[in-house]
Amino acid sequence: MLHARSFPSASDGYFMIESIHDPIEVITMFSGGTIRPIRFRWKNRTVKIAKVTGDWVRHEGQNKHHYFALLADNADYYEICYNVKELTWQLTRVWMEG
Amino acid sequence: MRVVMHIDMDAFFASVEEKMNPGLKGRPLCVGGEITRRGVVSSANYAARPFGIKAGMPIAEARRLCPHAVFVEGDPQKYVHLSLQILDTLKSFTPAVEPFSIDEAFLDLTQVPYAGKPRPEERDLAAVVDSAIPVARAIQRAVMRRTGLCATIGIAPNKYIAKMASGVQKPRGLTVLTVERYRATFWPRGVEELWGVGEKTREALAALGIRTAGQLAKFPRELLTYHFGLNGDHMRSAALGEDDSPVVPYYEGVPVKSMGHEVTLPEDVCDRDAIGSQLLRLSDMVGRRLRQDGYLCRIVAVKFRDARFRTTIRQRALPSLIDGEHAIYKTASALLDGNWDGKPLRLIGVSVSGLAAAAGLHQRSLFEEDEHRRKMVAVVDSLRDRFGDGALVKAGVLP
Repeated sequence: MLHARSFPSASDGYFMIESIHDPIEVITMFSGGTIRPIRFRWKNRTVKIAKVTGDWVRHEGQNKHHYFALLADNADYYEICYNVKELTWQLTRVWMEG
Repeated sequence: MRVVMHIDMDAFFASVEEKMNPGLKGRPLCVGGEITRRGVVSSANYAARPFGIKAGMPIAEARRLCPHAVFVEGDPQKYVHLSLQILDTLKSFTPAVEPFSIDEAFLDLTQVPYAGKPRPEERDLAAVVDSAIPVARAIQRAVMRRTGLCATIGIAPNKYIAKMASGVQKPRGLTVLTVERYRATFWPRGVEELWGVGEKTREALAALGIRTAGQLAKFPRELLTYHFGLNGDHMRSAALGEDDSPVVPYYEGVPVKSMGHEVTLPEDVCDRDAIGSQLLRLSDMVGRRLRQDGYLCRIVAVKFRDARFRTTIRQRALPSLIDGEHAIYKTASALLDGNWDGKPLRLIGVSVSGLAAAAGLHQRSLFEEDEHRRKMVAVVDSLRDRFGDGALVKAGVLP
């Protein structure tokens, strides 16, 4: 499901940023109280994570959402979110060269 | 003799987005609250600024100025996370850290011993503030190491001059100003360059023949007070570089003066019901925040901006302190109806001020209806605490 909001000027072909709320499967390392996503599956393809460039937390009532900013090995940028209560992952934002 | 620093993160929101997504570096980048043609730019990186883009500008105008810029919708939680890391870093230099906004803070180094600091009896004031330069460089390095972000620092003998100093040279700037250097730098400049002097005040000062900061500093205090009230005195002190306000450490808590929410509407709206729905939603948010932070308010204000960008703000003092969204909404609605000419609106906001700590101030209402409402609000708050603010919304807010 792509709620897809193409941002202005995406049609220029210069860049593309999309807000997405797709469920994804993520291979994750839980170690020493930290969460480290390794790779994830989205639209039948596997994205290997080269670098976690940032992380932050959003609270929704007593529930927590852990967000991760990621660079894939092909330099595409993703933001993914782990819902602690539901134990689910979601792809929330994608940036790739148009 | 005090040594005060003002730390200002360079193009903070845009820099955070660049740090997380290195593919954005070097490209003109705008972060906005809502990346539609109707939103405004919250932060623009330094590659966007030569095109004339600056914070507060409508997205549509930024798009016209730089069609190939990247526009990213801001994520407040992301910025708060980095802001807390920065605060944590600053605290390792001194506990006297006053967070001033999400990307600004004041530090008081007066009581902090550091290498090269002159003795307390030192009379050379310039030497005292200059001695903090290595500390400022160390802070810039520490912030960069921890967050990957650049900071600009102003050093001065008080908060006002430190704030002005940090604006002299950006990004990654470091400016030291004594009172004398401050006057030499700013007195020849227009009054609008002073922190706290906006366009309307500039016009009002110009009507008195005051155009430069130096003229403001030398203008008779009594006349300024006559024309501007207490603010006239404050402006003159600012122009003189006089400020004895303390750096309030984060652990003492900075008293909140007001709180509010506003929204740019997806399209211009003149339907009163639709505007009322937004007012209800905003009042609900403000009331919730008041109760969460433990405050009551006495003053409610409504702000609205029409399609021609004419902004109106009206406020009303209430006979008693409140924290319920129903009373906030009723007051905001009445203010809107009494001041709105019915022309389409593009922005609406609700805010409250005249805050007082709620502890011990709640009184049992004489009216049963109010008591029922208070109990209901308490139940709704507890459900939202557990399941999130979206768990329960007022029917009047639904489209």
